[in-house]
Amino acid sequence: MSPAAGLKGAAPAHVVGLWATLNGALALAILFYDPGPLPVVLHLLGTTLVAIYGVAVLVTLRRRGTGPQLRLPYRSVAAGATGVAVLVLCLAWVYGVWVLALLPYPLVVAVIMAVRGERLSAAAADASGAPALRAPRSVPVDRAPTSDEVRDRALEIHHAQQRRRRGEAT
Amino acid sequence: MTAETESAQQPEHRQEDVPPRSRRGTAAAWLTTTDHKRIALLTLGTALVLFIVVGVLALVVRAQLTLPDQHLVSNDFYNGLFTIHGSGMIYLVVTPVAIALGLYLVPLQVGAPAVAAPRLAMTGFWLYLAGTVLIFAGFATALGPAAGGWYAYPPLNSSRYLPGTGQSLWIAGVFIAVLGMIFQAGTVLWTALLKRAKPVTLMRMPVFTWSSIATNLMVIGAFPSLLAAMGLLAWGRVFPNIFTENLWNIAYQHLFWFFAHPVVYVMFFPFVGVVAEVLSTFSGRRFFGYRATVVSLLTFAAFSMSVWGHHMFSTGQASNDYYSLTSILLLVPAGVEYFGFLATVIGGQLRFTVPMLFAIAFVPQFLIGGLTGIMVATPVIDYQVTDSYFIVAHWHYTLAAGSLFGMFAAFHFWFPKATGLLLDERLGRWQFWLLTIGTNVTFLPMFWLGLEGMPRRIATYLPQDGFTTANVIASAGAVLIALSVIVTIANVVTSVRDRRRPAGDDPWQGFTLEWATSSPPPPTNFDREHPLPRVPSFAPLLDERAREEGEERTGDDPTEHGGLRSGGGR
Amino acid sequence: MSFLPIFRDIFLLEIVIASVVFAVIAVLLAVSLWRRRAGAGRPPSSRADNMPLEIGYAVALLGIAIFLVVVTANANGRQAQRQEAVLAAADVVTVDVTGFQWCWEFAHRDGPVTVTGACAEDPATRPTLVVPVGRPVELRLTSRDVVHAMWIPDLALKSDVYPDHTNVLATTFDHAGTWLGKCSEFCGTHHPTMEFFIRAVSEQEYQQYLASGGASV
Ligand code: HEM
Ligand SMILES: [Cu+2]
Ligand SMILES: [Cu+2]
Repeated sequence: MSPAAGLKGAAPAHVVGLWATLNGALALAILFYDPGPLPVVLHLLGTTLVAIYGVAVLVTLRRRGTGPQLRLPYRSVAAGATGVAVLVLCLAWVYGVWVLALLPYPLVVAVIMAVRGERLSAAAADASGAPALRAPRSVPVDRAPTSDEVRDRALEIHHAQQRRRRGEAT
Repeated sequence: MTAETESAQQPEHRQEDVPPRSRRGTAAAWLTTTDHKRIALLTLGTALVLFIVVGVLALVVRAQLTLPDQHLVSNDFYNGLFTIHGSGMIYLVVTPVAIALGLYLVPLQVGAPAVAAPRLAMTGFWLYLAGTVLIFAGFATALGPAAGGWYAYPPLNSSRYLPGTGQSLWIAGVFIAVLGMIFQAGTVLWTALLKRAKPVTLMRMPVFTWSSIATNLMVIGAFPSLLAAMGLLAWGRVFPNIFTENLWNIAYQHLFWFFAHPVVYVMFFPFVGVVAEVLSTFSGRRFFGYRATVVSLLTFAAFSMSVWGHHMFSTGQASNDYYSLTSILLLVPAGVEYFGFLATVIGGQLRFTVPMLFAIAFVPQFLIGGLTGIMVATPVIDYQVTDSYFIVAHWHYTLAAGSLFGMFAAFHFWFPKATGLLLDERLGRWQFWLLTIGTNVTFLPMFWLGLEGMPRRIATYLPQDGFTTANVIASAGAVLIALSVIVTIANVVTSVRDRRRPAGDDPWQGFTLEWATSSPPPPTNFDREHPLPRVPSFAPLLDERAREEGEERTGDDPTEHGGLRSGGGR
Repeated sequence: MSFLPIFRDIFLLEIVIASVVFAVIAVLLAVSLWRRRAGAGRPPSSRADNMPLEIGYAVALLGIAIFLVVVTANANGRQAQRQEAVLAAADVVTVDVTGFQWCWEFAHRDGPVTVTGACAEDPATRPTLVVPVGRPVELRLTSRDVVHAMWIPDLALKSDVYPDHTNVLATTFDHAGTWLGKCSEFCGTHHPTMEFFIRAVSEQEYQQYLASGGASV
């Protein structure tokens, strides 16, 4: 892949990166106005956060984790449980540590759900045809594939992989 | 609210990640959803309900201020009212709407079947809801709700001067509500940057999606600063002595405003995007100056991170000239955006639908907020008008006359998409005129009040102050605003109840991808019945229509004007 | 020599610019709404860009912005200079102003006079700060508890009042008179009534005032 193509593919990271750069420049411009350390530090910290996000975008691009999301959790109980857990933490700060006695239940639910409850298991994926592929091969048409098409295609690839793993000829 | 319509109009789906159809309409299905549209609708619905609630608090404030020397409520309760009104509008209404609108629309507009990390987005909703509950729980505590103003300066907000439990609940509530918004913003940004359908290159994203990107970049960079500020306040609730030191008081202000200036643009940008989409749709033409607008949105957002000190001009402890410089420079990107608005209308063929009316009114009204914003970015003016009603008028022009109008433009524009039902046009017009007149009658006199010397956040004033006439006028306007909100509620209730006006997929002849799918869209946005169309530019459906009509119309092919070529995509 | 003239000049300048901008945009908008209504039958343009025009426009905006930046930085500089000139004067009158929940205290360094009040509903309970006409006055502002702000609207004088920090307002009163001062930074329950009077009197009366230990003049 030529460097130019690499640049083009990384456009999303450049959006974030240029933004963070402009911000860094502004943070340094403030130095001419003798602001004391606090504003500069604050400004650079904010810039750093965006830069970290930018790096995450770049890494994902490198690992070709782009394109429509295929594999979705089918429900979000963990999210609700997390919300409750955080609420309990807040109440504990306001009303005292005894409130923490309420914490384990939502926490355990959140953890269990997040870890294994809400994504289709490997077997289920087999049965229903939603394989855990990170990078679907792009479909060579000039419109985005419909979800169904993406899925069919992914399924195809998945089965091909399975067959290859079992050593069958394709 | 849309559950039945949805299941009624749902074509068969075979997606495995979607719960079985029989379960889709139930409350449990909504509350454990991973569909970005439902997460967004939960967030938006909550925010709209809260808009009414905290709006009512403002009406009580107006009632108290109508005449001099009134004591309908005690001073402390008055302080609670404006604190919950102001902080509610900012943390719980306009910011969530600004972000969740992106959560609903961005995946659709970039042709993605889902949002990235849907459970994180849903966690965002739950945290926001929990924060709301905490903040309002203050009303049930002995000393009443938080009463320290929406920016909660220490030392006033330490436990020494405002000991109420409501105050602590408010700090915790703001913390987690804003944390939730960071989560949602992060997922939307990720989707726009990385989860686009193949043909949707960056420069083929609609203006709204770009505005959402700029918004969410600010959220990522600036919102954590509020978490730090609330953390500092929380620390000061436990150890109030730290706020006897100037260092911490000023540190708090820096942390706070580092968040709170960008947040005002978070509450503004998505509505710039909305107004751009609505204006261009009902002008029947692609948005003029797309590239310039995209660049200016991004620069605007970047600059907005370095203007926070303009809220601290009168502290005597900030580098005023720097913040004045950066703040005034913002007029360049803002002016470019306005250029796009006007040029789009100037070359259009206009249909005055209800969303269009709101979008049109946004333009001059927000302008008043923006122009007075440049005035208060001038230190020698700000020294005099800060903390007076001039400022109250200024931000209500940006927020109430600006963002709120953008919000209603969006509401009327995308309601048919989200529910499959059209709203009543006549009631919509009533709402619009009442709101426009009411807003201006309420907030215009406040400029004058500020120049006459009325400080903000005062529970009452004396007859000899000379503030009476303008306050009576302002309160009369508030009544009109209330009527307008009642009309809106009536409109939604009757439309949803009677179901007389099915919207169809594309009631407005829209330009962007969400109009290519069904109303409401299927769980993964595009399916066999509604495949993603070709996306040659940022207004794909317009291109499609132009192509269908054939070249014979004018001979001018949209491809010749940069629409197709703009941007790096193939 | 209060700050009012500077405020007035700049305010006038900016309000004129703002009004012109508003008028231009409003007229443009109104005219195109009329000319471009669907009934007028003008087909929509399909032009997406006009880069030279847009860049030219942005440059013009930048010009305006730079003009405003220079004007305002300059005005702010002048205001700061005035303060410094006042502070440098030999005969400066210094008063320590302390804000507290919920009233003010004025301690004159030139004489044993300290004034405070109750700032209750009744305006008679507001304290009065007495200063001489024609001499530079330095107000050293600090707070005993939370952040307040001293504001005299009619003189365009304002500064925040912090605990553990002293801000200075320095000015000269050109003519005798009494003005109402307020707290403009929200400071809790009785913020609305945290007012005071500031009264400028002749030098002679001021000396009498100090000599009499703060008896009213
Ligand atoms: C429904 C019509 C509205 C009325 C009648 C109204 C009225 C008021 C009044 C009287 C105050 C108190 C000002 C003060 O003492 O400082 C206030 C404060 C405020 N309002 Fe509104 N308002 C309305 C809508 C809005 C909207 C739509 C927003 C935001 C989107 C908003 C945001 C605020 C904020 C942030 C404050 C400051 C609270 C504080 O000082 O802590 N208001 N409003
Ligand atoms: Cu600001
Ligand atoms: Cu006060």
